[in-house]
Amino acid sequence: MTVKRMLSSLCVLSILCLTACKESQEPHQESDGKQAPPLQGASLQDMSAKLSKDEASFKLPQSVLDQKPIYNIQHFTLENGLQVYLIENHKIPVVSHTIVYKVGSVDDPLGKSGLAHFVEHMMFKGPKDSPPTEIWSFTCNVGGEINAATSYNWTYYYEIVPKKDILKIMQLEADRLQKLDIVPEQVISERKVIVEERFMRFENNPVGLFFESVMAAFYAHHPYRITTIGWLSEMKNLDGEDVRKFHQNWYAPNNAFVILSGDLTLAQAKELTQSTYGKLKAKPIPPRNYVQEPPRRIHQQVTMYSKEIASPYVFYLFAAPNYQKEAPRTAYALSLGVFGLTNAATGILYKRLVEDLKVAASFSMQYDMSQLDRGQVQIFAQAVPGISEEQLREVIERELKSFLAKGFTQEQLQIFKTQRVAGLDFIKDSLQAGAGDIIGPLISGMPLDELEHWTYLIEDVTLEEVQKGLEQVFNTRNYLVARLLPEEKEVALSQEQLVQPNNSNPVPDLKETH
Amino acid sequence: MIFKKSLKRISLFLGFLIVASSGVNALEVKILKTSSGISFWYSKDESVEIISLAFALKTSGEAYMDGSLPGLMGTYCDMLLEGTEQDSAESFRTKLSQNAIGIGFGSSLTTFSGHLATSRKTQALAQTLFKEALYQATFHQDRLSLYKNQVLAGLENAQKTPGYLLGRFVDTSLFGEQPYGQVHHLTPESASKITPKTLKDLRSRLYNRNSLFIAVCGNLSEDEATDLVENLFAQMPNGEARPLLAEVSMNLNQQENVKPSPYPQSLVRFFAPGIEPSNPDYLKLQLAVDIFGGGLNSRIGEVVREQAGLVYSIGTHLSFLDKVAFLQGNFGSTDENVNEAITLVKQEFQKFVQQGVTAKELEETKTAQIGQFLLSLSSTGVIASRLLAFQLYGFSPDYVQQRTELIQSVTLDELNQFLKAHFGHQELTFFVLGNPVQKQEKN
Repeated sequence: MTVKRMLSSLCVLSILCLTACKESQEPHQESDGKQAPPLQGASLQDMSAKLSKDEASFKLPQSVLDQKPIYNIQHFTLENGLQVYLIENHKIPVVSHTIVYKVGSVDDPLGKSGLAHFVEHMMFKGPKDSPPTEIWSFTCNVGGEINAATSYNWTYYYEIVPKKDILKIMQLEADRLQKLDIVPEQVISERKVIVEERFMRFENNPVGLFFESVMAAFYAHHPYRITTIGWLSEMKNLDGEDVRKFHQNWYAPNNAFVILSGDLTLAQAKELTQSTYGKLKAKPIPPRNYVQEPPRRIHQQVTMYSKEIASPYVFYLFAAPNYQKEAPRTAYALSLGVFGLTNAATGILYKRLVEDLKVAASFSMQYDMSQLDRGQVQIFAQAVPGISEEQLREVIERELKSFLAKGFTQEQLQIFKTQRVAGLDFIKDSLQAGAGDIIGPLISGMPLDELEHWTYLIEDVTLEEVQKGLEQVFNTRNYLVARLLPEEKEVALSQEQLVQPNNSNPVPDLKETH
Repeated sequence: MIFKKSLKRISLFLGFLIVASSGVNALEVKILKTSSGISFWYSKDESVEIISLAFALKTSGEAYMDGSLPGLMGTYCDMLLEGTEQDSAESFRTKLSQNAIGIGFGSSLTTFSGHLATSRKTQALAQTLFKEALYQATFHQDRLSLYKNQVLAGLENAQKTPGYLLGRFVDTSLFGEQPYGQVHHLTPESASKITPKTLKDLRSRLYNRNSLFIAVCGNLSEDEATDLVENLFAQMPNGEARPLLAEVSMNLNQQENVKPSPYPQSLVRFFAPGIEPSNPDYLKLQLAVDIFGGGLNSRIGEVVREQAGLVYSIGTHLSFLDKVAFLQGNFGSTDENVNEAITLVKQEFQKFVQQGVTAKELEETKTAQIGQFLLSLSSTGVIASRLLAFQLYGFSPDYVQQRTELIQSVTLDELNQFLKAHFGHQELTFFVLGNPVQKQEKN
């Protein structure tokens, strides 16, 4: 059991980013001494990027800051703007090195979807024995581990190597940050590789196609609607010039941070980073493509049919506040609430739907509190044999309403809190545990003090805050419900898609239940 | 190798201080024995507050069970965590979750296994819960029905995935009616026959000290480790170990076997004869296979992905089950590209066997394999599972050190001669799930 797992819904690592938004970390100036209005009843349609007073005044007390930090992160900044974070772990002479660039698929130019991911692939290509190709062979030849990943908001590269080899790794990494030579033949072959990757993850996987299609339906304007790997028609046209420009625009020391975890002292980390990344120059970074998603004013029901599905899936998306711009404190309450509803040990809705009523074979709920723009609470469920997807949806919606009417008890909340903060002893048991835990929060802009004491923020959540957070998300009819159905259940347009005179399945209005 | 004798405990047999030549890691492994005679491998790690234990029972996996009840072992393993005489399923899981205690059980085709991970401060509770699950699970009818429904519902969709379809195609083609060729997951038929009594009966005949292997790593003394193992396993009965399977034959027809698929990307697995880890030549084959297909900088990684761009991932590894061992590789490639990819893999394999590897490739792979192994020993859980695997392979505790020396001692001539002798003029056997487009069909 790792802390990474425990943090997974606190800060889902897959879709995070760090942008400057300092107002979220400073006390709000408009204090009139009165309690800020409660969020209860406020829907996301009413939310703006401006923080409420409750959220803005959120600050850790000194007594908490005085406690022993969880990770013991040491931090410094090079003159060129590169941020460096070190977690010392002298268990074995090995170092894990990660560099995170604050660029991802949201930054793909219009019509060039998949470019950020393609650049990540091309960061391992180049003339023979050039740094991008050498970093792979060198790491493999010393028995190390190397890989990279791209998401909506970020791109990262990591290597785990013996301590004696870390200098070489950082030299090579700094070299490919600074310069990427494009070989035309490699652009052609690697473009075929990413197309094969897309076929593996999506064309060969109806659930993958379903998710990317649903995200495209849920977001009206924000680039979160575009799949990170890219649309096939656009991927096939990406070229070397696209790669060169993207790398030149975004890959800079002042648009990245490095996490070192392992057998290094602070002095060694400073010397290593200075002698490698320290030689690079900062450069202007273009503004990111964070258009604001407009308010949701519609309920959506979307359906995908597939011959490769035997049993239907139901997928809900509710708009939810993100940690950084909208609700740094509510996000903790919401993450705890979602955990309390669906964890397999004690989750209230999980137990009700899967174990008591036995209508769902699987039921999960996820909240990614750290997306930089409009986030979501997702619900994903599969019916047991003999239960139709209509019946499953009806029960999910009924049980969710019923839960919102009464909420959790204090005792339940305490159990969830204990579950969430257990297991800190495991952090030191592997190099990756600490480094893996902090990437997401750092990208999301979480202050170091908060990251070092996140357990306090969980312990400090009140029952009222959890209730408010959940109501804020679920008290709306403007959600999306998606169905992935077996092809044979597809019916003619005239039967299903025409408006029925007596609407037997009205949009449930969760808000009107209490 | 440094031989140590324990002054504390007569049950200590051997101690090995394993220090890699690269200086990356030091791992001291000892064989200890409990008062009731259970021996186990032990390695101390005081740098953390964690205790990890891994165990396995040989000849106790699905292939050793009643063929009329596919999925029996998987059901048994999962139902161990679904409630005990002392705790309901919810209460049991809540205790695990609230105390960050990791307890899990699993089965392969050949073994039943389990693990325990706990902080020192929760170890008493962890031991209690582990024993509850292993010996006192109730297999309550309601929980069993719930479990079956969940698994069968999940399988409805899983059975349509390309990975599942290819897996069944391969298993039935290679092993036919033999145990390895059978379905090994729950089916509606087997689910209807598996009752709480079936599982209780299985428990009464599954456990056997003579099939038991255990490894412990973490922050605990030899005495504490011995007490831990005795506490957890003392009630495991003695008895005759289940015999190994009868001879297994594997149908490697050296052809391309194709099964049509509804998906646009073909999935491919390919096979050649392997050898078991206990064979003195195993490390030679492992080095060679690593050069041929161990990652993107391997020969086929370079030719099929890096140069031709025909696949996203491609790789080979050595696999073995009781009485059979094989080289296995896999990749996925769109229907238009898959034949070209197969042709390239075939060409590279023949070049690899007939011309051998180069001195540079061998040296790089030696360094990589030594480093990889040592770097992987970074957490108590991984160390415990590695030490358990070594026992199952029949290695001695000094394997880590021997391995480094053995790898270093392999010469280029030896390796290349071995390759020719082992594979001869053998061709790879391919299984393709897809609709490969022949070149002349293009355009």
